[in-house]
Amino acid sequence: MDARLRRVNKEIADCKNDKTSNITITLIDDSPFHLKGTFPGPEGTPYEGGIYDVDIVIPESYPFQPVKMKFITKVYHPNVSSASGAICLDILKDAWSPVLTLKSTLISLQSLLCSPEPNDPQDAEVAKHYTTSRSSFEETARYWAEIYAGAPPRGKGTKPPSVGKGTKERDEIAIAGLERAHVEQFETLGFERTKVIDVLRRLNYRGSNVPNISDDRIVEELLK
Amino acid sequence: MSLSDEEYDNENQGLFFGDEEDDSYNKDLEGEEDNLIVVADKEDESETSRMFKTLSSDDLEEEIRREVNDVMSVLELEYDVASILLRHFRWNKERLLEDYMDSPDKVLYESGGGRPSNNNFSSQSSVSEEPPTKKTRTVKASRSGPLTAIRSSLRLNAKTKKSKASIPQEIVGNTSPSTTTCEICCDTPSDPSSMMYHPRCGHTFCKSCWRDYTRGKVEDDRIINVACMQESCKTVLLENELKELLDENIFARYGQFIQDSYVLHDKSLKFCLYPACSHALRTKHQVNQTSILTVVPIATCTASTTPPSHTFCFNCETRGDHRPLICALATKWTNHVNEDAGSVSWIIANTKVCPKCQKPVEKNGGCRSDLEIKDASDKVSRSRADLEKWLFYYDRYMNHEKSIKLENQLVERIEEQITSLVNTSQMSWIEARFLQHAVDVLMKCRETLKVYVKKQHRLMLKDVGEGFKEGRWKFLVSVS
Ligand SMILES: [Zn+2]
Ligand SMILES: [Zn+2]
Ligand SMILES: [Zn+2]
Ligand SMILES: [Zn+2]
Ligand SMILES: [Zn+2]
Repeated sequence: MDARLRRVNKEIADCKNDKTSNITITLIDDSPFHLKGTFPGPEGTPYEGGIYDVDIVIPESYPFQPVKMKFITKVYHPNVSSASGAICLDILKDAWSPVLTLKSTLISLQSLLCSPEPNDPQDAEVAKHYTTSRSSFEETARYWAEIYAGAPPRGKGTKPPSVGKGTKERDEIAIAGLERAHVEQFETLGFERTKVIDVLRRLNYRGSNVPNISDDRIVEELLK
Repeated sequence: MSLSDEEYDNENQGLFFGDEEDDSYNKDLEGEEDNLIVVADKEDESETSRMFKTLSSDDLEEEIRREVNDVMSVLELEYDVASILLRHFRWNKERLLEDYMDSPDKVLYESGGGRPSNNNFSSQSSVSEEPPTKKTRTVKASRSGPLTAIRSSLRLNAKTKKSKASIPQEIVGNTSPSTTTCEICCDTPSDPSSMMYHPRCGHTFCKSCWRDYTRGKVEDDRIINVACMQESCKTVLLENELKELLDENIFARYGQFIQDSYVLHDKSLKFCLYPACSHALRTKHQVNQTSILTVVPIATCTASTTPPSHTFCFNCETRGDHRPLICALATKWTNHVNEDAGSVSWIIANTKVCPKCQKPVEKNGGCRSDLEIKDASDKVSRSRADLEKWLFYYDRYMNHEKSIKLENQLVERIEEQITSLVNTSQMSWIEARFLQHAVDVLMKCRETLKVYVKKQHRLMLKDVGEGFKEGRWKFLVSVS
């Protein structure tokens, strides 16, 4: 049997037999080289209670080349692309070692959720949000965990403000990690809501960063 | 008449490139033209050989060996360790020595050249200095036990011992042969050819995995400092360790990659540009932004004794001798040729001159009403005129280039003829060489003419006075 197949089979079997780690690996299609990894969001983080799916592709020269992983579940995290789920983690690149396994790599992803590295970001906007206003970042991360990763809603305090109109619009603002009042302030000037959200997100109009950005600057961007 | 080769050469030099000859040649041209034709400096050959040194693969290896030996003796390290360190520092000896003096343990650990005990540098002193694996968020495999014990004993050892980093031949008690299943391929090797193996850090895996791993690192990734397979073990495999693991031909390429890296990181070194030539050239030119506006560092690799000669510009990497053009202009010409070749052939292939009004039209378009074309035709006819001029230069240039190729063949034939002349007639070898010299001179003239065409084209673009241009044009037509 081919060494790569033997190794992957063993890894899948080991993971099945291990009841302690909460990590599962399942087949996506018929190929043993395209898999799905699943793990719970770590406790004590905004991701707690969510279930995270990871797309796993085993390259031809595995385990001498690193496994390819990206999040299927949307994650709001500085080292994960909010759009594509691509992950910035050293062991998935040059720090890979052939002794690392699918399970140990998934555990590393889990611990990446505990300790973001904003200095080496995958998603620059999210990283900016993280460094400028931690509490606002965590609120958005929590919100994403609830709507994308199935985390149970928490008490009222941590929930994004739910005043006003339809739930769909409230979602957009919250998902972007913005304040409803801020969005409405520029909306009343006659700009479209989606445009306002887009610009405010791009300028990182959040938390302690708000006083640093003049209204003129925002209007200027809105007029572009 | 029996002259030595040297004397004969001198004589010939006098004949063809002697002062009088040279001057009158220049004067002739000055009368006709201006000082734009720079006849290759007569000291060219010796100048080139003075400013450039051709190094064979063996020379390079020898040079690298000298560098490593230097480091080895200054830092009192083993040869292989010194070699790993130099490679890690991209052959920057000064920086290596400086950093090593500052913190030898740190340098040894980070470069992967240290003995296994140096790996302890990570857990030992990094707490305050720098977290060594600050980004590796992996769950540590539980492999403390014997290794930790060895490490701490080695650490003690290292502290008391004088600093002569040596490679232990065997790590005591580490390779417990009980681990017969390879952690990487999950196989228990049965045939003796793929037994377990460990480099000097003691991390044991099956030999077949080590082979696959090192082959991938060397052949695909072209990595010359190949680290151990164990997670976060920085130990770099020694050359003799790689030799044991790699196939012979791949190990030979490994040596080549080391030379590549050495040449790449030395600004005064460059590989000969000619395909299948493995020689490198070292220059004494101090090429910089300003000097390159006046100096053209034309190098000739001495590896080739038969045409085509391996001549190229050390700075802009244009093949052949592009003097008297400076590099900036030579590169412009090359780009011009490359970019325009496509569009030029398109216009030639797709436009024709309308038989009625002599304006160029698209071939598949046919002639429409004059009104329709009028606007466009002005532009097109002008561009076609420009194009014709450009093509004129381009053709001349290509013809010269073609001739050079043909003359290269001629040189080969001359070689044969000389041999047969010597064999069949009374003529001596030395006397017969006049034929060869004749061809050499012809080739030189050809090169100069080729470059001259380029210069002409530049001048035309520079909008010099019409009459001047016309005169030059006529001159060029008559010359070629
Ligand atoms: Zn193995
Ligand atoms: Zn090792
Ligand atoms: Zn050469
Ligand atoms: Zn040049
Ligand atoms: Zn016409």
